[in-house]
Amino acid sequence: MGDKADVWQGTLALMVLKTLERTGPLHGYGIARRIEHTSAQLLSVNYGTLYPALLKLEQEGCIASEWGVSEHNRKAKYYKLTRAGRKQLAKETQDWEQMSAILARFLSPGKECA
Amino acid sequence: MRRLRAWLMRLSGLFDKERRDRDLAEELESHLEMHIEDNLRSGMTPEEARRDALIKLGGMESVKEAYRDRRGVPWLETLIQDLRYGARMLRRNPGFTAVVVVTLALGIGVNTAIFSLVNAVLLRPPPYPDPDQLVQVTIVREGPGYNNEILSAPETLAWQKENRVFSHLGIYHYQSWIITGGDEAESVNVGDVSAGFLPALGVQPVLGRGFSADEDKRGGPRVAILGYGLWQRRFGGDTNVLGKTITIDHQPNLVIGVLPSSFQVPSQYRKKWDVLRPLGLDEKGHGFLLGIGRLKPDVTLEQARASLDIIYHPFCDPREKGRVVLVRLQGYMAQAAKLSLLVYQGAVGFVLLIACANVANLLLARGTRRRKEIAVRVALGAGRLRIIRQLLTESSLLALLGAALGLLLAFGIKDSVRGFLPVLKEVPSAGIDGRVLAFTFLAALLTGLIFGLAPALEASHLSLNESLKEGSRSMTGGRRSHRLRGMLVVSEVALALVLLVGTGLLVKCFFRLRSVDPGFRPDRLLTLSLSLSTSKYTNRPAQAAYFQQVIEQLRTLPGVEAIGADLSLPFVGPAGWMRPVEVDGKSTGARCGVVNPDYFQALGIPVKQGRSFTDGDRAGSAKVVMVNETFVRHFLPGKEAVGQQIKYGHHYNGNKEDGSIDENWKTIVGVVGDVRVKGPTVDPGPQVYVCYLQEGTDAMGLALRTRGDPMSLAAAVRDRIRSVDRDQPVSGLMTMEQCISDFLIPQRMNMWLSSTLGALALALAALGIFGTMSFAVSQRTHEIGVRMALGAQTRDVLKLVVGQGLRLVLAGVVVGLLAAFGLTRFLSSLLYGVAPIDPATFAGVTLLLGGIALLACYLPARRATQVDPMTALRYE
Repeated sequence: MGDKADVWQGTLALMVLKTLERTGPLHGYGIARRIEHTSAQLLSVNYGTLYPALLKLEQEGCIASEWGVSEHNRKAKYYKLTRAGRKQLAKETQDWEQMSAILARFLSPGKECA
Repeated sequence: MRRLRAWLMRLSGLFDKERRDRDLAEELESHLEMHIEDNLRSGMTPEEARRDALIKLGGMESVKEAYRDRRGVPWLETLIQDLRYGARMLRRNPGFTAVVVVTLALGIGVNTAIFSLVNAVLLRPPPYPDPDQLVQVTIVREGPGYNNEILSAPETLAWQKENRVFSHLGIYHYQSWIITGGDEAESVNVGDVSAGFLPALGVQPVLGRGFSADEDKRGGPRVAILGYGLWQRRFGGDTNVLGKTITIDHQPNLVIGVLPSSFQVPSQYRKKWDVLRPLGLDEKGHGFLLGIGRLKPDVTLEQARASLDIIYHPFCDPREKGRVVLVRLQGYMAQAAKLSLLVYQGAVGFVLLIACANVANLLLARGTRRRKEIAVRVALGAGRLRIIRQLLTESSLLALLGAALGLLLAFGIKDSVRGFLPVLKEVPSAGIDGRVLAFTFLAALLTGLIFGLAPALEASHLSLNESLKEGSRSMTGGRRSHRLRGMLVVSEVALALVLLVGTGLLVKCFFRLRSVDPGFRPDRLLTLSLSLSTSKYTNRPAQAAYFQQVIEQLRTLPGVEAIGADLSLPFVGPAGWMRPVEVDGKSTGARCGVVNPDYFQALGIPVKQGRSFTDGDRAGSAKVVMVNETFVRHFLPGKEAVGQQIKYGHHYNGNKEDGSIDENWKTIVGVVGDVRVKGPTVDPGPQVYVCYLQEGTDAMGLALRTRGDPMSLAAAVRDRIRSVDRDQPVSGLMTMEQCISDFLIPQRMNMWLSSTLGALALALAALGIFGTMSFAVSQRTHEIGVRMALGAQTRDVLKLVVGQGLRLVLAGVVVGLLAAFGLTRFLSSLLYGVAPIDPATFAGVTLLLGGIALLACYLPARRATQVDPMTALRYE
């Protein structure tokens, strides 16, 4: 696993957590579709990478899973946010905002010469 | 925290794989179906819908693969897989596995056993709280013959009063005394200790209390603290023992405490103490004291040393130039055993290395047979590292199996090995603790690496094309592996030679010592010691009368030919008892013998000049002495010794010697041959004998020359002695030959232990050479067949094969001899009368090893000559 994948995984994890916070319990396919939808189809998720990311979040205790039945009466594994997951989401959101604010300041023209 | 949880989850992911796989498959299946349904709804054809869904997912199998990597711990799974494969390989070759595991178990087992002793004696701190603060106080004096540990009263008293560096200072000495009262009189070890002794060690009695400062005074109250063993033995572990009395040397002592069972005497010889009494030291106290101090927390060793040195200085005899040296207690207690232990740890290390070389050889040979298997793996895409890793896993598995078996072996033999080292007899337990287990585990891993690495590198180094092509044809294993095997043989021979040289030196030393002439005839002698109570027999005449009665009683015993009595019999009693001598205008010292008139005749010590003592040499008659030849050589060279006058011994007033020289002149009436009183390793020193009838003594060793087996008289002798005084215990009833043999225990044990190791090394090395040569011959069968078909004679073939082997052996011998030259000097203090570089031993061992090596080469060579050329040529 290279560096790029790690960053991508990290971002993907944040997206998954945010999605689950917004929608409540949801299955893998739903999460993938939802992320695509939210990104206004700008992101194309390779659905396959989603499952290891979900497993990692589950191992870390941020999400929990159980088998359920989908809206079309199909058996599916549902993921939901745990309390630890909510905390993690809040923390990562804050980190992310801070990071992007810093980057924005760096990238906005002219200011740093003052 | 989150990470730890994730790791635990991943570890648990190693189990129950099938259920998890099924779970994942179902999840992905439902994912696909949902996706396909959506695609259908958006108007795709069923094929398109399915295709699109699969593409978006990125391939079922690779998703599963990525998921599995995340789920478990990939390297661990590889390891488990390798272990499984390795175990299967080992199971499939049970003979090979057994040979390797047993070889390694021997090597690792003896290493573990010796290490458990090293751990107990050298590494484990002494069993007292904060042992780092404890130091033995010693005084190093110039001139030979001084015992550094011994302190005398003036300086110890000054230290007790003035030192600012110890939180507690304990002064002590110990000796044996008689306990009476109750059923049986018993001789016990009594420690006389200052009030600071137990606090310095940090030992709390399990019952009662320690000695107070008021009790630690001359003429103070008679109190005692029981050792745990004595408490159990004589008082049955009675918890109401405090306030009872115990009779030591016919004096009642009030019991005020009981020591814990874990109590250990802080001595390097680890004697057991049965009971403690207050030392009660004052200026007149005697001079055989030992000191142990507990440093205050912020005081360094050097500060403490300097401070004690200043206090000591005024008491120091300027001729001795003594200076205080502090030795950490742990180092002090380890002193006696350290060298032997380290030598043996080194020796067993060598044995393990030889075992490694043997196993490496076996693996190499097997590696040649496994070439095809490995070639197939490489062809299927296994990298070089992957192959090495798998082979190393296999060798580690072998080593761990060997270590497990070796651990059992170590458990079995550690106590007998401890018996080999007499100074370790009292070491409480050389248990297998965590450190020993860690040692064994590390030794196993290291061993696996040592014997596994070369063969693994070798095996991974193959050219795919050749191996697969070579396939069923005869495989000579390539030049490189050939050279490697040669090097292994060379190192085996070298290691075995070094070990055998060491063994040879120790064996020679033992036999040399056994043949040393002790200066008297030791056969058919029964020995025993009698130590009188000075409070019952208060003066010299009473003591002499007792011994006279005993000797009279025993003389009439049937089977006794003669009786010799000496204050301290050769090989039996304490070796000390130096007394001052003034001879020919010089002041000096000589060992003291207090003997009966029959002594020299009974022991067979020749009287060289003058006469022996007679019954007429008694109190009141002219004072006479006898001396040995060394005395004459040292102090009266070239003079007629008989008739010379000397002053000898301490002044005796009433019931006690006061330390000043006896001013009475005594005449030398006879000169006797030298006796090695301190055992065969110590040259006899100057010695003076006086007659007990004239000088008196409170202790005697008796030696009875008997007609038959000395021990058959033991019971009768004991009865006769008890008939004189019922309360007088008799100790040390044994034959003189037994005593002499006990003196050689260290040397005998050195000899046995090193012989065992040497034989093990020799056998392993011979096996290694034999194996290598057999393998070489079997590999060269084809070639030998061709040679014979072309007219080579049996002799040529023999020369070819044996020559190849002997070249290796010779190289090993050269390396081994060089190493032995460098290493044997570490043995020098264990050797007596044998130089570390003893030409005869070196030559003998080289011949022995060479002969066995030759045989190990010859047997395979002879098989080679029996090759039928026709079969050999067909041999594929």
